[in-house]
Amino acid sequence: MTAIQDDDRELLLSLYIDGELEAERIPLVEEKLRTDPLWKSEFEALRASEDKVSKTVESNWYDQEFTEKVAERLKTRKIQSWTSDAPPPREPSVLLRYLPWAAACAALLLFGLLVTTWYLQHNRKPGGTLGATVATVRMLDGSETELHAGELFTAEGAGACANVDGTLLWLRPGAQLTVQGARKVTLQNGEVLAVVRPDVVPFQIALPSQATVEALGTRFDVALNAQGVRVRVVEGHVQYKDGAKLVDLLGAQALGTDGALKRFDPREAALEWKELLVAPASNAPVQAEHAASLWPQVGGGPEHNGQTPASGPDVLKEGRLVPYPKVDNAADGGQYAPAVAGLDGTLFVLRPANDKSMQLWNYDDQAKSWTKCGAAVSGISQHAPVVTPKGLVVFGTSSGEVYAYSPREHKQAWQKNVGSSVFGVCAAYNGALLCSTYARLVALDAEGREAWSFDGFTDIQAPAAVGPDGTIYVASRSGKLAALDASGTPLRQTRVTLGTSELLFLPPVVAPSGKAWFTSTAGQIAAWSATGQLEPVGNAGRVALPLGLGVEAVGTKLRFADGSELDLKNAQEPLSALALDASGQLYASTPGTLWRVKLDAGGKRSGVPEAKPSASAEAAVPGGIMILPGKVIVTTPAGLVIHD
Amino acid sequence: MQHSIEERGAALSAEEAPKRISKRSSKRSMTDPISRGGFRTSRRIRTGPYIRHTDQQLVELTAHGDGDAYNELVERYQNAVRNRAMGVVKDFQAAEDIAQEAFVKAFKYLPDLDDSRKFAGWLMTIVQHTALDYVRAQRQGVSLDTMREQGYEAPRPTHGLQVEKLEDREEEFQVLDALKDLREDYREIIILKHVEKLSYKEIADRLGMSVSAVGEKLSRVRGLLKRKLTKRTVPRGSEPETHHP
Repeated sequence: MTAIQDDDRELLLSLYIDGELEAERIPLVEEKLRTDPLWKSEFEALRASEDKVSKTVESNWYDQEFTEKVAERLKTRKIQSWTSDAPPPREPSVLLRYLPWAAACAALLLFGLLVTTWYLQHNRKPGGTLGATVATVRMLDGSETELHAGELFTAEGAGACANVDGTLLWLRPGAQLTVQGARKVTLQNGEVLAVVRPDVVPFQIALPSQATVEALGTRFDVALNAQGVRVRVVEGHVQYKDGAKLVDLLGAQALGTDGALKRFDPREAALEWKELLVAPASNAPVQAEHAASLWPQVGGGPEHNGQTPASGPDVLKEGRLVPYPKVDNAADGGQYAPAVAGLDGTLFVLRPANDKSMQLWNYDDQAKSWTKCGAAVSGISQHAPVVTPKGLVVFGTSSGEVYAYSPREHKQAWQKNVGSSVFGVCAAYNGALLCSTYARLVALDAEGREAWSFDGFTDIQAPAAVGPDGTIYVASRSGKLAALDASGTPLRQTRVTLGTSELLFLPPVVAPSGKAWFTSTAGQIAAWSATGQLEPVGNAGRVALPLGLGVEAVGTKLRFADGSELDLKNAQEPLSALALDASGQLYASTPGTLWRVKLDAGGKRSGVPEAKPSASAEAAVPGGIMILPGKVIVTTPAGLVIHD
Repeated sequence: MQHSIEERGAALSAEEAPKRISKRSSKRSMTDPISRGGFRTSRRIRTGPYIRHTDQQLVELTAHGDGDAYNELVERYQNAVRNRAMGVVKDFQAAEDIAQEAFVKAFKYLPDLDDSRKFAGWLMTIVQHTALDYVRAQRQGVSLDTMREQGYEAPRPTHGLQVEKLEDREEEFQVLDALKDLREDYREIIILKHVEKLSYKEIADRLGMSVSAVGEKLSRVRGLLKRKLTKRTVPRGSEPETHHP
């Protein structure tokens, strides 16, 4: 391990703050921070300065080109409509003062272009132009390749990620493309997922048929196969051109191989590309960020559509119990809320420190250790924290405070009082943190600033949920339901009739079709379609989560999409948690047992159910099954039960 | 397999079948302008002389013929205006165009603004209406209700933006002053880090530097800024605790 010198303190701390320090030096720096007051004070000073600079820069940047273009328009139109005695406005632009110089530069450029064109025409080999390096391709085995203009690249092995002028193109195995220039590639065959950067310069994917797909500030994928071309837009705006045919696609829209424009769930793309996006040899921080933004709540979870973006283990094994850390002055050993996972698989749980405060802990399964990474100074929390794409862990408490912690830095990033008890935080596609408070639904931005609030209900006690098209669903305790757009404007509202003492406490579940499911404390389930039709679904017998595919838990029975039922006869207690993984395996938890049932694409059961002891006789926390690649994690009052 | 310039040039012919290249490990040439991104950012930090002026002061200066004061207003509100337009038209290029047009209209009708303290809200109303006009023009015959059903936002109240409270921003101004004193390339790397949110690798690619040089440069900039910003704060949060089950 490399030793570290005091002379390098400022540099090492700077790298540490940015998360760019080599892994082997991190423990050394952290040891210094714990033991050396000089290092600690230097770190705190740098951190404080960095926070100020970051905040200031983010709210004070502008695009100089924009300002210049406004000035140009004013100049062109000679707008001087002042009615006061004041003299007419002076030239508003710095650019305009230098217009003659700009014109001279343009003339020089034009001259240069002509000379270059002449040179190319007279000196190149037949059919050729200069072929500079225009892209770097990183294979998923970690090696890199340079691409020159006009060369054909074929993604081999597990796939590849090409960086073309900042735009990232993930290529499935077998995909072939030719880079034509800094902002243009031709897809010869296969599938590519594009994340366009920078978002102010168009990026074009051409097809051999002369059709083009052009994007601005967007994420989209293109598949070219024997059936034709399919384009799906995760976010942003894409224009498809093929001769006279021109199709504009916005986020959550797809152009099928049949040429029809249709809606699609962006999470489907997340599921399909997840393995490439989070491949270990790839550029993890960048890709993880994109993977996360495709999937609002990192780690997935049944809060959204019951389906998670990862597949569990091939062979289901017995679970192992990971007891919770001991918390001084803990009020009880209970577990209120499911655990969640960060992008790197780190698990986060909230533990009650006493009856008035909570602690946030993370668990490293490799090191087998718990680390306290934050605490709520007041109030309790009964919902899962949410992990943002930037890695912040956010939760709210009954005191009305929302806390955001950076586990990597062991530091609170921000804290915001939202006025009344928080009953859940959920992340929207645009990064907004939707905090369900008793009095209103409050949307905070990534820095904890209030963006908007919905105060149509005054008795919200369940987390909100986000649908595939970004629609936000929220329910009041007394049965009022609302669908909001991403800016909090109500799209439609309705009301479910509830029985005496029956309340809505659970988060809605939204199917890929846009249908939202609401479950009451008495187990009554209502489904609200995207067209506004409200229909009762049935009685789940006890609090249980319905799934977007139409699977419900009724007592110890699972009811499938075709109406058939499976009675888990060995289950002595009703089912309390369900989750569906990316490969179609349905997981259900009863005290002491984890069940697994294979479903087909239509939600029907296939195969024989499996059952494995779960190392804890205590019932899972409702909603407490989380699926990570190759493992299933069940949250129980006794601890986390990991099946891997 | 390395390609000569001529070979690579030959491969560029659109009619010819593209050549397949073999996988090879190589580092990119950091001096190659195309490989390093091919452009520099046009984003800047507001450090002009009018940074501490209120909207009201800037509007009044503009009305008295000070074009730079209006530039400051454009720089101050262009992101908010662009975002508002984007929220309506969902098309970046159109939003950019609408935002610029909104500033032109605002300049033209500035004498009609009764209370110059309300410039921000007034500007937001202009951009909202400009954006909706654009949408209507694009979709002639489609009612506003239908447009809303299709995802277009309704006009908003005019108090969307708060008037800046300059007295609360002294710390921010100190940071801006410190940034103003930096070299241009130092400010640029700050923009790439904090506005464009690029990783060291991406900054290195953009600027044609090595990753380690980026780290060293950012460290130097940080050191400079830290020394300029004398006011220190103690980070919140607690020391890490570790527990093994």
